[in-house]
This record gives sequence, C-alpha cells and structure tokens, in this order.
Amino acid sequence: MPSSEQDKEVKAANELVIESLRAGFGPLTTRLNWEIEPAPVYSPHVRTVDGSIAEAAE
Amino acid sequence: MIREQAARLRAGSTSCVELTEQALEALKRDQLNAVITLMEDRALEAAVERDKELARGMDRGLFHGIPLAHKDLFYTRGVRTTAGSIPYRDFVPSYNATVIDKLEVAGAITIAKLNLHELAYGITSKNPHHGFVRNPHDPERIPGGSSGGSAALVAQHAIPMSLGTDTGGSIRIPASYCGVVGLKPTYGRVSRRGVLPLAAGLDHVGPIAASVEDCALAMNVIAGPDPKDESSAKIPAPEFNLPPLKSLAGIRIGLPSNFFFEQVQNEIGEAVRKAAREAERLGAEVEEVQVPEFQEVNLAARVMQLAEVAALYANHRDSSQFGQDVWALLEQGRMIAGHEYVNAQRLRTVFRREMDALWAKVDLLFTPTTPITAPRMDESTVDINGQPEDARMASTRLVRGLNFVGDPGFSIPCGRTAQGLPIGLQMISPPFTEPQLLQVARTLEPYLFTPAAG
Repeated sequence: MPSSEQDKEVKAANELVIESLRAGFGPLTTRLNWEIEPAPVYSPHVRTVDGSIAEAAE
Repeated sequence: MIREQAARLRAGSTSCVELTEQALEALKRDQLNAVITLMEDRALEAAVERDKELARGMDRGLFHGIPLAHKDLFYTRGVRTTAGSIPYRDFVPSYNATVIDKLEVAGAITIAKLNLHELAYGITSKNPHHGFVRNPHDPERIPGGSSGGSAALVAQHAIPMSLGTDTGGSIRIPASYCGVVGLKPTYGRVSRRGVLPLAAGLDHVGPIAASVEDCALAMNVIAGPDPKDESSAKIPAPEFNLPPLKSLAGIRIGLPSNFFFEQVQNEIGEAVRKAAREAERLGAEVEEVQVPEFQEVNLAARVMQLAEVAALYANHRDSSQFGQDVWALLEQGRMIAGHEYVNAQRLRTVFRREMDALWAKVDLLFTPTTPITAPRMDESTVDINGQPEDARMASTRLVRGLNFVGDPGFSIPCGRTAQGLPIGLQMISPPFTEPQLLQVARTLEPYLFTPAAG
C-alpha cells in the first residue's frame, strides 16, 4: 500500500479513537458547575498542586 | 529479601562486592530483555566503598550494599537515560533523580537501567528499540508495562526492588502480570525530580518489590517532601514498615458492587473475593460498596493524559523517531481541544469529592488489579468471559482512574490461574494512608498465594 494511503488509514483510525472518547467524555461535562469546579488557576506564585490554589485565592 | 541480604552482610557470610557481582551476573544472563544499560564498573566501585564502610563500623542501614536496578527513566549522573526511546538514546544526565540519590545515600548500589515500554507510554513493554521484555512466567507473554523490565527481574529474584513509574497503571499492571508487589503511592508522596515525565498531572514514582516489607522499606527511603520538586506534597513521610497486625478487627474493607468486578475473567474475580474472605477470617469487616463511576473517571484521565503527553512532545514531528503505537497516541493527543483538557481538570475535583465520600464508609477497597492475566505477545485483543476487548484498554481499565484521583493503589499477588499465571489483587486506600494499607497487606500476605518464577 502506498504510504499516503497508509497515512490516511492511520489518521482515520486515530480520529475514530478520539471520536469515541469524546462520545463518552462530552456528556460528563454537563455535571460541571463553574461555582463549584472552576477552571484550574495557575499562578506564578502558586508553587504546588496540592492545596495551593485555595491559598492563593485567600 | 532485603532484610535477609542485610543480615547476611552483617553476619559476614557475604560482602557488598559479592552481592553486587552475583546480581550483575544474574543480569548478564538475563533472557528476558529486561536490561538496557549495565553499570558494572560504577556498581563494583560503590560496592568496594560500602564494604570498607562496614569494616570501619559505618552502617547506612538496611539498604547498605544492596544491589538494585531501576527503570531507565530515572536520571543517573553520567550514565545514559534512554526512556527506551530514540529521542533520549544518547541523553546523559548531569545529576541523579532525587529518589536515586536517596537510595544511594541509604547505601543501595545502582547496578543497571532497565527496559520499559518506549517513553513509558504503553503497557506491553514490547520496545521496538531495545527488544521486547518477556514475562518470567511465560516468555511468550508480555510482562506488562511500562515498568516491564523492573517487574520481570524482581519476579526472577535477580533484584529485591526496582523503582518504577505509574501514569496509568505502569507499576501495578506489570506487578500483576509478573506476580510481584507494586505500589503507586499518593500523588505527590514521592519526588519526581530527575524522572523523565510522561503526563505531569498523572505521573507517580513507586517501588516494585518481592515482598510487602521490601516495598515498605523502599518507601521509608524514597518518600517525603523534596524542595527541588514543586509538585511534591509538603507532608512529612511517616514510618511505612509497620509490623503485621494480630487481627484485622476494626478494618472496613469495601468490595465494589459496580465497575471493578464487571468484565473480569472468572478466575480473577474469584481469587480477589477469596482474598477478601481471608481478610474477613482475620477479623476485617467486608461489605459491598457503590464506588464512583470509574468508567467516567477513566475517560477524563485519558483526555488529560493524551493532552499532557502531546504537549510534552509538541516539537517532535518525525514519526520515524517513535514506535507505531506511541506515535499514534501522540497524534491522538494533538486532537484534544483546549476546553476538553480544562474540563478534564475540573472533573478531577468532582471525582476527588466522590472518593472522599467513599472513604467515610470504608478504609480500603479490594479490587482486581487487571481483569485479565498477562496477554500473549501477539494478542492485541483478549477474551473476557466471551467478550472481546482491546488488550491495552483491558490492562489499564481498573488502574488508570487512581492516577486521576491520586489515591494510593497497591498490587499484590493473590493466586494464579489454571494456566499458572499470576493474579493481582489491588488494594486502594485514602490519600496518604500508605502505611496502613501496607500494614494490612503485610498481615494478609502469608495467606495469599505467591507465585514463583524463574
């Protein structure tokens, strides 16, 4: 099989994987509430992942 | 095994040099493709020094003079660290990973860098650049991955412990398939400085070992805050090697009524339930519990992993530098949209809260580590009670979610199938409760079947 054909097949297979992932993942986001689960905030002053975001907000 | 070697050293029945030479010989005879780089000269020099120290009364503790080898993802000063890949094939770090430093300060001797799934991005350890790692129970089967070389050599008793990493099950899957123990600690419990990242939000460092005690002893050395790792938790490390309990009275063990026992090979489900019955016989309260929908946790974890790894390798656009499977995952990661990654992060809070609610009801969960035993090298699809499933998806299905919520997960052998393949029990506990988890495991360990290999 020519490589361009092969590339197309691989690309199509990858797209199928992501479509299937999105089909499951998309509906989960309806459970999100911005007041409870805000987008993660990264600040140059926040040095750790655990608990520091809350500290920065205060 | 570590305590036994340490006792022989103190009794004068062996020396650090002799132990190191024996371990090096075992690795030279390796038929499992588990070794990438032997560090013979450096290891023997260190062994001579450790012997001199013992002779003059300087004892660094249980790891003094114990030869160890680790996944080739950990920086070793002056020794190449390949990640089993082409992009890093000539990479020579100028410093040691914090965990390597800690083990060497404790007296351990690093003797080799071990084979793994390319870039730690996969579970087969079929490495296209350094050869396929083989399972010591059946060389026609995979050892699991990505820490495949580590688990294979520990199972063969060539080394008592090996450091691995776990981003979606890469410590627990090979521990399960090779019949050894493996701990993915709480996120942040062990420093990741000097460890080549895969997905920074999901990466964990932990031990793969021959026994629960060896695992706990390793945690005593490697755990704790690292001022040079901004993501390490600021919680001081406790004693991890607690003695076995006389009884498990007062311990509440949950057996998930959803997700974890669905689509599991019958022999595996039965072995895990049998382990729970043993715990009950020792006094534990065992009850069925509803757990968060880990199918959903897995979806969010996959979004996060695909995006984070694609970000790390954003400037690598030459497919000839990667194995086909790894390249496909990198391409898939580039398709994840920014809003999907952010929402996966937000969902982390949702599932974290659900786990906290669960921990108000039970102290531990018992689940299978993997729904299948080690697949054959050529098996991309596995059969689970008549249902086909992709072997990679099946292997990660019961372990990946813990990387997302961050709770500790420990795999311990609990039997074997009629074919003689090891079965892994996964014990899960609340964040930062590894000492209690390991204590229950150590109490239960004599009552669980431990498969021999090699």
